[in-house]
Amino acid sequence: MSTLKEIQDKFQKSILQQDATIIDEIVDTSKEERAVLLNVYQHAYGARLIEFLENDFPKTFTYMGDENFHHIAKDYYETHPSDNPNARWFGRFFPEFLTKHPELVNNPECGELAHLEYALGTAFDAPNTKPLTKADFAQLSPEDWPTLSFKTHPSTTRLSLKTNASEIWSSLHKEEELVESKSKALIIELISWRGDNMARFRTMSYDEAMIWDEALKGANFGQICEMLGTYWPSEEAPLKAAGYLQAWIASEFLIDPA
Amino acid sequence: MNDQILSEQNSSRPPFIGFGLGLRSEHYTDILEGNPPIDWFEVVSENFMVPGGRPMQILDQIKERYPVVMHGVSMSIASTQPLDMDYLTDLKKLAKHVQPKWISDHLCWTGVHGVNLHDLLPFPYTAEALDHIVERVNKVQDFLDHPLALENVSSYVSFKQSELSEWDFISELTKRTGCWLLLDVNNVFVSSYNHEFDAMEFINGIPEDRVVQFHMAGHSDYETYIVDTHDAPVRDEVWDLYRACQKRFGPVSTIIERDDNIPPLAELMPELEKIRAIGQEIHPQLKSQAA
Ligand SMILES: [Fe+2]
Repeated sequence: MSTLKEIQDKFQKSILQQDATIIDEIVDTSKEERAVLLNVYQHAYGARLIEFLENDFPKTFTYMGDENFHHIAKDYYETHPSDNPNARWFGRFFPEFLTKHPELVNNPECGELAHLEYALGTAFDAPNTKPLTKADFAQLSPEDWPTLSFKTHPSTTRLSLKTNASEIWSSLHKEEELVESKSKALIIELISWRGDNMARFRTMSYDEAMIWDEALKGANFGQICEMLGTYWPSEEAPLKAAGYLQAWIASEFLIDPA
Repeated sequence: MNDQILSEQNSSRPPFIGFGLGLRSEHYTDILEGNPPIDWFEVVSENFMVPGGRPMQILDQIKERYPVVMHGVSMSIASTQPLDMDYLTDLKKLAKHVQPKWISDHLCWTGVHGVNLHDLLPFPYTAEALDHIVERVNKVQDFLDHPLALENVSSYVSFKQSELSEWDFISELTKRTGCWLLLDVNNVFVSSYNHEFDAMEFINGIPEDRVVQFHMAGHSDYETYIVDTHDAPVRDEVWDLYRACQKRFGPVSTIIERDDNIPPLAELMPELEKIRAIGQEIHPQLKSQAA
């Protein structure tokens, strides 16, 4: 007699490895053989996980096409079985998996498209941390500014794309003719976030992206102004920094660093 | 070790709350802008066990207007791996916010060794399994501050080792734990077809006073077996069983559970009206209550 634990171990193995380990424990019916009945579970397993990925990466799915996407999604779930009770997190390694997949070396836009979609998913249901407002900054005295440090809202993700994946995303979104993929000598700086309850993204200029990344690493306002001096005449740099900061506050990118 | 002492939460029966729907994102706008005549909503707990954003805002608006029940898919009550206390803690936190009339999940397991197969998996109906699940149900009931209802699943394989019928197993479980039952009428039909038992024997084998909710759904027929696909209207045979169930257990709160091939809200309403009409026909007092 097998224990409940042994039966569950065998059943799970039969699903993960699509084999007949459990077959001796189950029965035929008068209408059907047990192998066919077991296959209902074996088939549903992969189909369901692929569906999760299709739902979480709809544009990557459309872009890659059924056959290609399903084939690589299968590689993914075979190497990354779900470890979370919530299917929401099943695809969290998928963008990087696409980026590193040997069959996609010549299509780096696929991984980047998935990274962008994952970032938008993060924006959609990230914590409702209270953003800083104009009023919070109005309270600062002039001597506070140079040492002012920053913390970014959990809904934000910064992406540096080396392909035009964001343009591909947009053409798919508008259901326009698909733009051709480009990846030569290209860097597109992006940020995604939640605004008015919608997941959004926009491009950042190189200097804005640089100071964002540095602020994230701990650079304060004074240091950021200095860094902008490499892009702009030093008397303009603080004005530029203040302009970017204003935009970040308006878009609710920042939260209380305390 | 005293199964006779029922948990406090489960000692009083949850109320009858009428005829409703499983809440699906496709219908959010129609519900919030149209105020359709739906008595209550069942929400999939996991969809709202996310950090923040729009999902919870929608749910807050829904729960202001309608009674809500939380229905989970990941409790894995029959699993031989330890209860996932992180999951249960999140579930309890959500329940504290939502204040559902009750919390339900399935009488099944979803994985072992830290893997989640995201399926409602069957197990043998043995004394060993019963003892194991009774202990876990008691633990979960003690932990959650809300009544717990467990749902019979559709299954496609049965095990050599099973010693009890599914209905005897469920009856013993509810007797020993005091848990409530969510009877999925379509699942009774699907399993009776797949495992060649009489659906009425199942229904008549379940205690009359433990069922707090019915699920109604459609399925796909593959001739030698039936799969619980939730992608189609309710079938005739299932309507007959629903009638029998409202007679035996009723009045019992009921929803349509549609998970795939989801039609516009307006197309689901006639099916919901039929569910209501049958309920009112069998329990005429519901009509006067509604009026
Ligand atoms: Fe159900």
